Amino acid sequence: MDHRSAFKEDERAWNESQQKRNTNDGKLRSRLVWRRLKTATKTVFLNFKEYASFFAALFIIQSLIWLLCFTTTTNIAREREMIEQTYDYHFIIDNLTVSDVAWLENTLTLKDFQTARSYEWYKFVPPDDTKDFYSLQVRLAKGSEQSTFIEYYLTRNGIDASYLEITSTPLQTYEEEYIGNNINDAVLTGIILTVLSIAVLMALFSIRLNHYKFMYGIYMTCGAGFRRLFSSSIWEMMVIACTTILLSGVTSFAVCAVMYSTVNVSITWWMIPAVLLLNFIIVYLAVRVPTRALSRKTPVSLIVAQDNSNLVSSPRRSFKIFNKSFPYHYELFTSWRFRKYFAKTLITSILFAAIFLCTVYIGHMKKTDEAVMGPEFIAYVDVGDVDLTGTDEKYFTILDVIDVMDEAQREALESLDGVNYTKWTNETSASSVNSHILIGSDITGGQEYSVGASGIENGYNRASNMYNYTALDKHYIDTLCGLYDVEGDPYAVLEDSNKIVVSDTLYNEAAFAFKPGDRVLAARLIHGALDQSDYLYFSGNEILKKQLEKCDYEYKEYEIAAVIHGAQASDSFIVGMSYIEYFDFTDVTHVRGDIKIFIEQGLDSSLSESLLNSIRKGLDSYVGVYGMDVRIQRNFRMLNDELVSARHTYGRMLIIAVLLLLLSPVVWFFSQLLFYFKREKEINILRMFGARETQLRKLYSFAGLIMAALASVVTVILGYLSSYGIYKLFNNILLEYGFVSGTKYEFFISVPALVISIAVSVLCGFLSSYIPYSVGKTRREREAARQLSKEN
Amino acid sequence: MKDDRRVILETEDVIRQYHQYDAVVTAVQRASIRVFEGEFVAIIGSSGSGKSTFLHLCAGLDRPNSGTIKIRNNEITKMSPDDLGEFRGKNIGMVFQNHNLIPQFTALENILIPTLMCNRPEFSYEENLKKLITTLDIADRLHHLPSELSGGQQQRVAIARALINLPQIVFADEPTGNLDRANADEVLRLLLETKEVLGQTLIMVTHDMDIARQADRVFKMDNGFITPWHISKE
Repeated sequence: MDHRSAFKEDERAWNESQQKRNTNDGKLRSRLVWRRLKTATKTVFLNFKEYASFFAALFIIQSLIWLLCFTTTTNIAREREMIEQTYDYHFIIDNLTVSDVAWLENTLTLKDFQTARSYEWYKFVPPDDTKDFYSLQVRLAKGSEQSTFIEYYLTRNGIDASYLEITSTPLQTYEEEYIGNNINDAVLTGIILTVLSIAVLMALFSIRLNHYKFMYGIYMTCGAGFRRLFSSSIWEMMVIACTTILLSGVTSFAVCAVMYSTVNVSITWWMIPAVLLLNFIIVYLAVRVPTRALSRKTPVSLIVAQDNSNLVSSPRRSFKIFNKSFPYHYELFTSWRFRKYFAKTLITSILFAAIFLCTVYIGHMKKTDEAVMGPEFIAYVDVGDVDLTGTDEKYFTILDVIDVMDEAQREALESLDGVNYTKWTNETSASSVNSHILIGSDITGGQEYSVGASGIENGYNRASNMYNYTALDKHYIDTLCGLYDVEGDPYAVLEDSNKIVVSDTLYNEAAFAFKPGDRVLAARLIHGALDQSDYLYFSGNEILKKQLEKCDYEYKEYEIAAVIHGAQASDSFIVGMSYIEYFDFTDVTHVRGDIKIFIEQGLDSSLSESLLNSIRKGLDSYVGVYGMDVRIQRNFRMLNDELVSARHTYGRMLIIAVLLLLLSPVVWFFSQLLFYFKREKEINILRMFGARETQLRKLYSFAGLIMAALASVVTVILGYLSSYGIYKLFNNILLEYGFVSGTKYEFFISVPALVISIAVSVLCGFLSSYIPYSVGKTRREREAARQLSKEN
Repeated sequence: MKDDRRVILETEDVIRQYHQYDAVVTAVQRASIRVFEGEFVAIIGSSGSGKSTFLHLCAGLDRPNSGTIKIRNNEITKMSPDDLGEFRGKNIGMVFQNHNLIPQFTALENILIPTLMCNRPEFSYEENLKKLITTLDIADRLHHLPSELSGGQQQRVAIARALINLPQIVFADEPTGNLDRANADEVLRLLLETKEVLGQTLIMVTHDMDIARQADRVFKMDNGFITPWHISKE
């Protein structure tokens, strides 16, 4: 038999033994699990000091997850309660006439006997001195839908729903909007926290693997592969996670109880599987990725790095240490040798201080969001059906009449108790009227907000349609001047139809360099149109390019009377002109857009309904004039503000921020203690060659001071950069891609938070370098005392 | 003449290079050898000639830049890290010059590491352990930490660790390099004895010509090149 055949036989035997082993493994699996659990528990608790950082990190991570669960469920429960206090019905039907009510009452009573009720109760609200019609409030039965009710009780009975005003209350939209907001918020925060948790645990685990490379090299030499290394590590981490999970849950519960000032913190069944699942994902990924990377290395490369030598970056040439001072020069050189290690440690640990600053900033942004006032009601004065047939009047001529009415209405509305102010807006987007403006290339800041238009008009070689034509009156200009920084004389547009007001901001960033006195050309379409398919395949600037190619325009030159700087804006800036000019230039058939009615902050949301009736009464004079009608939309803004404020968003963000900051010392101490533990041999050699105890203390102190100084600088740099990143992300990037609304945030670094993070970084930097010395000294003294007592 | 002996290790054109800053150092150059089952092969050569690197490559502790290495006809250079780890645990024993014992583990724990890493139910570890500690004479030092053992004792523990899984092939990287004459002779005697008893193949890197003389075949490494070397048995 030649050796090839012998090998084949050998191979067969080998495969058989493998199969046998696999079968045995299957039978022994349950015993194996128990044995691994026992081994991992013993390893973790007998070497508690070694694993203390993992206990701390997992406790913090789990606290974050628990906190998120507790606050989310508590908010959902509290919000429902608050909504029901004000609106215990799902929708309200306004504008019901007496005959409608009679029909409905009949139908509701009759249907009750025939079918299963789709409502819990209903209530008719009779007319009073503020309204001339009936309203119907309906609380739906569980599982029933508003549309079914309307179809069943109104449409089928011949009641025309088109003239009725049907408004869903927050109770109806509760599950779609309020719960949705809470869940979205929790999911987004949960994802971010999971990523951060994986990052911190992975960093700690990588530090551990790095410091125990030699041991893992030996394991691998003896046959350990990834599976073996991973299984022992994951069991250890799971044991730690199971130990801390209950304690972190209780702590988070207590924190929530303090935050909400109640022990009624909501607990639901899904929390436990959610926390366990997230915990498992975090631990699994944090252990798997570094272990996989380690297992791909050769055992030899791991074995040779049995001291800190694997952390040393070669200086390329030797330092001239002759006649240099000890320990200061010595430690400076040492720091340079370990520069990569120090850089990694500084960045990894200080990253959490920076994240702390960012979280405080995000909390601040949420506060800004909450402070942004929205209109409680929006009244739409519908002039679409203005009927001037049979009269000699032109649409144009009724403008004056309407303007006089507007002034009277405005005064009437603003004099109502509880109304803070009204905002009368009338605008239309340039793209909707196939218009654009031509500007000089020196005005446009970036290429992305305009397209080339050379050859059309000399000097005006860029075109943009990312703006709204806005009709301005004195009141609107007053509001703009109050809100933003306005350069020039905006009131000039009311006198001169050749003047306009422009804003210079897009996506909350200055996008144009307009100055008062500059001239622009505004385009009015003469003829030509794009194909429908163009709108399907192109968008934004591409559409404008096509329009410039295919359509003919006439241009009117305007002088910029004033520029609004820093206006809050998403994808459109303002081109403001007088009402007359607006109507004349845009040919928009209706004059009035909408009237936003803002309510005084802090007003009880239960007053909203009575206020609505007063407003309705106030706007009554429009109704019927030239066939005009008024529709009022409720926004439930007051209730929404109350709900948002009860969420304790800022408080929750602060607690999350503090917990994230606590991860910083965990990384600092874990990394540094292992590092200095391995430097002990070097220190003992120095001691052997005559280094005095004071010199060694100075060495450690000096190392600590270097780290503290670097830590303070890195904290400021990282803190600033990350906060600026968040500022750009929320203010411009997310806004540009439509993830957030157009709220404008100021760049902000909380000074107390910055001071705290610098203090934490500096203290950790110093103490994590100095404590190994004092621990080592105590250990040496104890050892000496023990030996002495032995000798005696 | 037809050779009926079974080849246990076969290397072909193995090259190992290291990058040091801008320079490339070739530690092993096109090394091709064939080792038969049950042989004792010594590899000699001056310091820095690439002996240890070649041994590490053969033992699957390092990866070559090119070339093939086969153990029992299994091409270890093509194995995944996991498969190679398992293969190493079952077939290969490794003894290092500086013992490489884990300092926080006792002698017994160090010996048993391979059994943890590579569970082979068909073997009776207890029986093998008893035999090894008796043969290596370390029964009374089993519960001592490596720092509490002499150099010779540490090397014996390292040998026990290499042999606990009854590997078919043992690689020894200057196992007697740090020992005095008497201890060196003792360690060699133990390695050869277990080799004979267990029918293992022993591949040893050594500086010691006395040891090399006892080998069945000798290879010499010079500047990364390996060549068969005749050495007088006298």
